[in-house]
Amino acid sequence: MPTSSRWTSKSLVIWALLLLGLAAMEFPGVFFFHKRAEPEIFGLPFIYGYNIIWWAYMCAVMLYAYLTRWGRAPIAPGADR
Amino acid sequence: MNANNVSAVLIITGFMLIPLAMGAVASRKSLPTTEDFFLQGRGMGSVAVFFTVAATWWSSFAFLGSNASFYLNGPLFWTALAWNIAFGLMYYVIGKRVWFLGKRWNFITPKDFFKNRYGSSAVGNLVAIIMLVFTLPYLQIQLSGGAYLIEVASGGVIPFAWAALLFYVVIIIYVWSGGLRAVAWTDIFYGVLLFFGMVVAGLLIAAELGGPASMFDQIATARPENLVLADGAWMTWIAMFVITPLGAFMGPQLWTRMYAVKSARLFDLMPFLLGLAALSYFGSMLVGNAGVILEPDAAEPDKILPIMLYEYAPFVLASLLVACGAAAAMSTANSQIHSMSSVYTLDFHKTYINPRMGERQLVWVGRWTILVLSAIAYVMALFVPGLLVTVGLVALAGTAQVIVPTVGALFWKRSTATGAMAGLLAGVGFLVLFTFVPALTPPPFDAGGGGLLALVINIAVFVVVSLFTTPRPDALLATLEEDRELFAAEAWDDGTDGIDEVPEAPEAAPTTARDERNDR
Repeated sequence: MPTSSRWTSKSLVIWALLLLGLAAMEFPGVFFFHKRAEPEIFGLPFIYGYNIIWWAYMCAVMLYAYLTRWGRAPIAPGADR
Repeated sequence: MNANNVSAVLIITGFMLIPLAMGAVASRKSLPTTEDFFLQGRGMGSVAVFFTVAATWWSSFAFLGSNASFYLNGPLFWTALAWNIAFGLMYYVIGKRVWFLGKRWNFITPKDFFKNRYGSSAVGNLVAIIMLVFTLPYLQIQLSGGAYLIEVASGGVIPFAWAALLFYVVIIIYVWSGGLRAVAWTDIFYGVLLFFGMVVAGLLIAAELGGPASMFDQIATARPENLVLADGAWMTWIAMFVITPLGAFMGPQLWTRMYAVKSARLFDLMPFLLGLAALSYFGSMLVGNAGVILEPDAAEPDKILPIMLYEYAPFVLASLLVACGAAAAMSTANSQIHSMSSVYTLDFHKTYINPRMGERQLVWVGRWTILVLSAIAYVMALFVPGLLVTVGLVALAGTAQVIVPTVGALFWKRSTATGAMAGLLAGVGFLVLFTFVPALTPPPFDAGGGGLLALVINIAVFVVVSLFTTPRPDALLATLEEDRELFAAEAWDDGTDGIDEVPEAPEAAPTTARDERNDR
């Protein structure tokens, strides 16, 4: 179904989840955990494993975003856009 | 050169010849028009778009430079996972809008976009010059990366200069013959090679040390500082996260790939695909870290991958994986040369040197431009020293400056042409200053954040000057508002995922690239 790119609550949630993930990947690791190699995650030093977890989270959110057309509002056929 | 070296060079050369054949086939399908040569007639399908964007995005910077960075600096390059995702998100937020406007107003080069949005040729010219100047060093590192691989594969018998020349010649031949169609076709081939090459190389080398977990245990004993970020590395980490995706995204080769897309729905999917593809850095991370144990005293870290492959992997597999590295360099270099050629040909040659030039003649000018620009990059590869990542970051910081007027044009009505130019000049000026006189970079940006500071200055100047200069004309703003409304209503979407058509731009619009071309 055609959509409009105006914001909806679903698109807001998607972007909030994405911004959360980006911030989690970029800031805590480098400011608070940068000297920690332990605990290991998946057999990798902490910062590697930590960012892999957030990377997987981001991929899941972006797949959900694609499947829901990024939360864009559907437009009924024939409706005025 | 022993038999193994000869075989290695033959395998790599074979992989370089496959694209030549693809270029020849692509050239049979091409039309002698600028839109076909530079944008593949705006009909590039989803598979081709993803692989050509990914292969263009993965360069020597990613395939070789990342290994060297993990080897020298530990986890610093791991910020790449986040910047890949940021790159994908920009494709959705900005790329889709640029695609829409490009299709509606018939843009071919980045300059067309800026001239149309700001009503100013000067902004467009400045952007085009910045793109040309700062893409050259990025092209240089592709030639350097490819040359390193051939040099190592031949056991040093083929010297760096000849290896780079070999790369230069192959790229020219197939970009010359087939235009964007040839580049996209070969990028599908390269993209698949690249992804698997990076991952397989990493797993293979890490297996020499008993697998990743065992490898990190050994590093914890031998060089524990390589498992954590160095003090003060946070600035470089964040600067790389910001600068790398912005710089790559604002390169002329990626603009071309926004205009050429057939269906808008692809932009919804690109963030996921590009984010997922970041998994390939797992391979680089393993290679760079394994080098800490296996080759602790490498004199040239950019060569750590081919050195270790030939030392520790089966010979044929090592040669194939090195060919993947060559693919990384080639796929980015071909796209850069092609897009720089379109920028010069259409934005400068046609506009200022010979406005009456026909379509066939323009394609020929584009081909000769390919020859000249690659020659400049080749000379730079011979005479400008530096680690691949270091040179690459300066180049990316230059093109990243263009994001400021781009975002201003798309999202801020109060932005002005004067503000855009002032911001760009300030950003590029300070970037050059911080690059050539690093001592002038103030803390905390002095720890690898010069490019980021230049971008911040660009933003500040852009905002302040825009607020104090005359807004864009009402007629232009009305047109921009109409475009914005059409985009918001997704005027191209009929509920299918086929070829998307956007409403034609009005005839009596403010100065645009389309008007200028039609007038001729």
